[in-house]
Amino acid sequence: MSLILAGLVLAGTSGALVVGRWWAKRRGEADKPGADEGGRKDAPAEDPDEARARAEVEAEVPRPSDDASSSNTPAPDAAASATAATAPATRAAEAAKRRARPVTAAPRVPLDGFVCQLGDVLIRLTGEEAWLAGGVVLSEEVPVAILFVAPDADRDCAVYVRARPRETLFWLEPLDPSAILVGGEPPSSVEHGGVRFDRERRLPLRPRRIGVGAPDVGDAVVVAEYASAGAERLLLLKANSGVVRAYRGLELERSSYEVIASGDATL
Amino acid sequence: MKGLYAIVDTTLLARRGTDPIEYARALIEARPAALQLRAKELPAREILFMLRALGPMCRQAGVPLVANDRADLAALAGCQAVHIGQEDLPYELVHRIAPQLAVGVSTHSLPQLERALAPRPRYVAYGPVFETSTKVNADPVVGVEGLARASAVARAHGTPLVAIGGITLERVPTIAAHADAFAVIGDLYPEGATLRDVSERACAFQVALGVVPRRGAA
Repeated sequence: MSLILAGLVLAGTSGALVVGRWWAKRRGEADKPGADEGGRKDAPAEDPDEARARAEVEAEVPRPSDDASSSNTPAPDAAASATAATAPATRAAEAAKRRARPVTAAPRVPLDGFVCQLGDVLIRLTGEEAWLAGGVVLSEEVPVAILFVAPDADRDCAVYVRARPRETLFWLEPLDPSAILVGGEPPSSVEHGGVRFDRERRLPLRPRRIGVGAPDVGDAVVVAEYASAGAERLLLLKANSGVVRAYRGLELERSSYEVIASGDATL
Repeated sequence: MKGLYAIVDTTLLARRGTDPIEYARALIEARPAALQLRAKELPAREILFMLRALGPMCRQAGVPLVANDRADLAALAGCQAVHIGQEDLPYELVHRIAPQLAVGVSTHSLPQLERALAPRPRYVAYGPVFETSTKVNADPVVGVEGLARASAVARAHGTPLVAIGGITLERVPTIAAHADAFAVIGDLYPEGATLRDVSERACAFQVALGVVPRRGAA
């Protein structure tokens, strides 16, 4: 009898334990500030101009560090003085420490496997240069490609990189997408500027904007890559929001460009 | 920003066979208001190398290092500021991409100055005040009166004004009242001068501009 009673007590206790754990897990999930979806909703894509630009920069800055928030301020001196004005001695000391340090932006999370990163400067043998100021990271489970944008005083360019199946870099310029789309869809082949291009890939990917100036392609995009018989390439991004971006340019050999890595120094 | 805005011009130094880093070290002894690397003809990799070499020297001396034209390299090298011209990446874009950089803007007319002042850059440069030999295709000379007018406009905005173009030690008395800082290239390094002379001359500029030089090895 006592054995039966002991068994019942044990079963009740472990059952309560399981229910308790389940309840705690549910609460934990509910308390999270937003997994994927929530994070996307907070993204600044909907906000116009200045606010969007600021938020884009913020999006690249790792959250936990104090330095990250200070990197967003227009001038280090101004940031330091603002901090000192609003807080007591500890903050003032912190601000002074910051002033004494070299002025650099917050470190960023590297995108593994890609030949270049946000903030890098690319230099072609032909002399053209590109400062990778912003971009769209295109992911499945992990990032599979990045479309960087490089602002220039004369004309902007774009750089598309993939890490797999082999290291690839396209040097591109924006193009009117209507010249490529057929019935609103990326065709399997297209002729543009007297060159025939065949579609090599058509990938549904999830975009994430980084840095400054990246095109807004919503939260899901189809990426179509086209290749000519030579080094010419076409790239088409068709967002679920209806936005379409197209680019044309060249695939570059690794020996025909160099990358000046930004390291932790910028953006 | 007050006093000498010293410019290390690699084209001038190459003609004289002078090492830009050693030259910069000589200038830094006078603790100028800013030190700018101007390397119009060098490839990006070399400019970056120089900026990275100058950075620690400038930081140690408390002299802001300014990159000319290239906001990208300024950001990569951790410079404090970038100086942009009318044909470079615009202020707004530089500020958005690299908010950690202070930005100075070159202007050559009052309308340009007004436009440049609107987004409140760290400083504006105005000139050329006199004929200059170090800039190819220089803009029309604005003269001392033009500088005085620009000075009034910049002061009304509360933005420091840097006078550029043909500034010499001899001309300082006529223009000292019309700007906060004075950009100098050629007159810091007269023909036959040694690096010691360069330091002395930079200090002389500082004194002439009413700044007590805080001299010391960089």
